[in-house]
Amino acid sequence: MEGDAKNLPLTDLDDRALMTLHVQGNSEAFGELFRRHRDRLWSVALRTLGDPEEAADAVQDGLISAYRNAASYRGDAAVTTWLHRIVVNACLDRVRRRTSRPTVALPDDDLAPEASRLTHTRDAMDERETALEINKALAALPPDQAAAVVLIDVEGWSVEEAALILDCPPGTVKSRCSRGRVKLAATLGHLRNPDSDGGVRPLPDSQVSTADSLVKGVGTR
Amino acid sequence: MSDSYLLDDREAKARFEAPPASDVAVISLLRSLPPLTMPADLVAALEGRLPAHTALIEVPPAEVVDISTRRRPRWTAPLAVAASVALLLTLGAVVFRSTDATIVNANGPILASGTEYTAANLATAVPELLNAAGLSATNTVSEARIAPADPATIAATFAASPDSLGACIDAITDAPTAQLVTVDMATFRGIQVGVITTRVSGARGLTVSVVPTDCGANNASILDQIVIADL
Repeated sequence: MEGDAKNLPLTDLDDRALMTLHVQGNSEAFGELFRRHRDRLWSVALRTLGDPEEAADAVQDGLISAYRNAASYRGDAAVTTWLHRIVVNACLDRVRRRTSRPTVALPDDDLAPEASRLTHTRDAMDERETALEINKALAALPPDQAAAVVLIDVEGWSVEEAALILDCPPGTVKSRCSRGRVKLAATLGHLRNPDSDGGVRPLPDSQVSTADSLVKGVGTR
Repeated sequence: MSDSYLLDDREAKARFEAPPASDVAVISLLRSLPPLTMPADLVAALEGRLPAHTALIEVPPAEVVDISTRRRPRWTAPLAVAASVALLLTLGAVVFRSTDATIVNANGPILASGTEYTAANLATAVPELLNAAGLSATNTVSEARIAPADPATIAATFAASPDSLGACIDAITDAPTAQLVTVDMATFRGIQVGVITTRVSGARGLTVSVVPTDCGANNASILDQIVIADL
């Protein structure tokens, strides 16, 4: 494999081959892995933590750790599972370190351009606001439940894969998911039944940029 | 919202297997979330930061070797190179001048045992290899029981020539008097590697270093390193 791998473009190699090349000192291999998985890693981090700043720090901590400790990858799980595990751990470590868990951080001065906002259609605004409410509700969950719900229900990982990422038994993943869903059902009831309280509420202008961050994944760093 | 706290583990797992309509609606909402894209500034920050950690890639901890001993004054480098080259002239000659890998007694220090090394078996597998190779304490071959590496299989590795092997040894060895005992081209955790065994005059034991196949001046990574009893 090795001889062939070194002669192929990195984009043609699978994740395991890229890990091997990285451990062997190839300076570009991890960059290709990063390009392949960064958006999903970002999604999990942001939706688990609910705060773009914290998520960015967690992703950086996790990916640098993965970069440096690649030799510890034993190949018993997919590379993407291994990367997710490291980043999710970095997220949960951050949560454990903070004394209280805020909901969604509101940036001070990174408001979306007014003209851009005005071009949104009503439907697009509704979708954005709905996504914001969902993300706020996710961020309000206990972090272990948020991580399980994000992995299973948002990102579509199997229970077994999520168990590997979260380093817990599959049954624990299921129970965390169920408990999280119950809370989300209570919080988001008006979204799934718009008539119950008048439908989706308009988003205050002060939260528009946060909505952009969470919906589009645009950080505020 | 507080009803979730009333779910015991069994109930919660059962609820996962057969979610009620309220949970199904939540799942539907969650799955409607749009995919996210990592912000460009974070991408740029990471792309800038990751290469800076190249020199810091961590390997499993060595069992005996004190990392501080890996620091070598610059003035010792020429001595180390000289030692390596001298050793290679002695031991490497057979390997690099022989193109007939079928000559059993022509084995030099470069072997290809096919061993699948791990951190757990390194301490036992290397002595077994040295014994099987018939290597003695004076680095002379008594009787070959392991064929030398085929030159073709090491052509693209640090072991391809005395110069490249010397560069590798110099890169990973901090002791200017290090002597090469053997190199085994094998795998470590499934990765193609070279397992280099060296002896330092006056030091206890042999140092076994697992290195990538492109070991050299540009890659001094050591994937694992232990000290074993001398021959």
